[in-house]
Amino acid sequence: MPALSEHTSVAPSSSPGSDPDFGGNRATARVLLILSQFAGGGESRGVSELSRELGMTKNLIHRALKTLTRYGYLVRDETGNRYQLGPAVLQLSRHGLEPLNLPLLAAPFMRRMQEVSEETVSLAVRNGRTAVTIAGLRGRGDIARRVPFGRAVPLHASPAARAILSFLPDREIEEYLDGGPLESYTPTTLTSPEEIWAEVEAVREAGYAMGRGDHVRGATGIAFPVLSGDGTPHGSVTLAGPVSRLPPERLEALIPDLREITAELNRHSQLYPPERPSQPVPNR
Amino acid sequence: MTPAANSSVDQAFDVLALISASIEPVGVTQLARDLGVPTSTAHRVIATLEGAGYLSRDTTGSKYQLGLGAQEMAHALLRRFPLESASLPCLTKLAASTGETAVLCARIGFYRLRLASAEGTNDVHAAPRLGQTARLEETAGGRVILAFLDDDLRRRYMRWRGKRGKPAARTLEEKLEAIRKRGYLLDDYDDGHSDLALPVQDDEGRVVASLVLEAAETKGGARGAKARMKRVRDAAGELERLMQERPALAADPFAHIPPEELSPGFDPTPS
Repeated sequence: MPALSEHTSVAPSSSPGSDPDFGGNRATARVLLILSQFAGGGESRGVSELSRELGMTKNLIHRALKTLTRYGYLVRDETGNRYQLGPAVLQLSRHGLEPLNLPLLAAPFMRRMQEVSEETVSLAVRNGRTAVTIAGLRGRGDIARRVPFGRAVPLHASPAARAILSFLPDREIEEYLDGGPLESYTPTTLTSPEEIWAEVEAVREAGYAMGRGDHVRGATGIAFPVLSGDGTPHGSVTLAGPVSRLPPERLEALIPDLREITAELNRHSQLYPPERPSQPVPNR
Repeated sequence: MTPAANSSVDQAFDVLALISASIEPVGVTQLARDLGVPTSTAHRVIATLEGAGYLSRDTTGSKYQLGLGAQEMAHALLRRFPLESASLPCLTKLAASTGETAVLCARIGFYRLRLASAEGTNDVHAAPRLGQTARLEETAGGRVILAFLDDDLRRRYMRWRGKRGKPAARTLEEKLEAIRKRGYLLDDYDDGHSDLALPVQDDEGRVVASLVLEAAETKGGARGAKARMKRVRDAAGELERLMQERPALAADPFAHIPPEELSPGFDPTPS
């Protein structure tokens, strides 16, 4: 698949060394896993919670924290009892951080979405008044939704697009709704600003956008936003397939897994600032 | 057969440091040579780091670079500064109105840290290089912070740099005095780019950060410079008002640690 790399590119959340072919050093892997726990949002962490979360003894956690503190990767926080990331971490950004590579970041999570559903998974980003699909994995069935690479869909007219639209600041949504015609593709496409606002509220409330056969007949899907550090969207990930295989009850049943996977993706994506925060909507 | 836990961890952090220091991806053979260990040992260390997401292979599949997991650690540290995300709307406006890259620099110990940035909207513009550190005196953004630092901390900086074999502090003090008088620093470079840096202070006058406009080419002569100055001043003023409304934004996540003890683990050189 284009733009998707095959190796795991973000720190795993599971216990290291469970893979029997793991060629590395398990003790070191544990220390690195403990350090990785400090990436989420940058909060400080204590020995007991790390021990609980990772299922490692307090003694083991203690020793690892001591090592990481010796290197300056961690320092004690202002309470003196907990730890926070330390200045040695800045070695890792010595030449400046790379801009976000969204397809690379999302790839392992998209693969998991495909594994739990066997359906097509795609990644879309905003471009002006549209959402454009930039990466994807085709579903495993004989009949599956195509990954619509490069297809630009108006921000109100597909789940992938609405998952992006709904998490824009209100002002930008207003600008979008006032800024041009709201095209209709099928009888179920929402085209009035009032209906679209109601849908935006529903998507914000649920945390995902549901397909309504409003863009392509016979296809449906569910899309989750991929948010940046200030809560605006980097893009969205969508699971889509034929209506025959994805009736509402099957989509509902998939939601808990999809929520969990996309929540983890968002924990990573929210570490990155938005590429262009709150820019005015350019003309299409 | 298994090396002692300590030495394996040490090797892992050595590899991380070597790869962080290199601009190009690094191969196993070179890593083994630089560390003075057998290739098989280097392989093992790399497998550990790759498995944890700290390293990834480059496109050839045979050399290694920092993985997304490593990048995220640095991003997570930046996020501990409340100004990191709070400053973005302001930086974005400045970048859009000037076309040039706007950078907010914070202080971590005696280093300036490139904390947040909005890339210039001009096609040719300065790179944001987030997370990069340099000693305070070495860049425009850092020198402005140093100039407005309270006297005690500045004296401690002078002692700290003295211990690190820096030449007499006299000329530096003079430069800093000039920055304080002028209220800003404009550095023009031979290649035509320039840095315009202003301090960002909280309502008690403590310098919290510096705002730098990095112009890829200096356009519009004196009039252009004046227009840019006004925009950077306005943006710095906006950030200061923001901190007055929400004093928590000025929080320094490393305030509880003496600056002398906060080293990024290598000696950064400016670029």
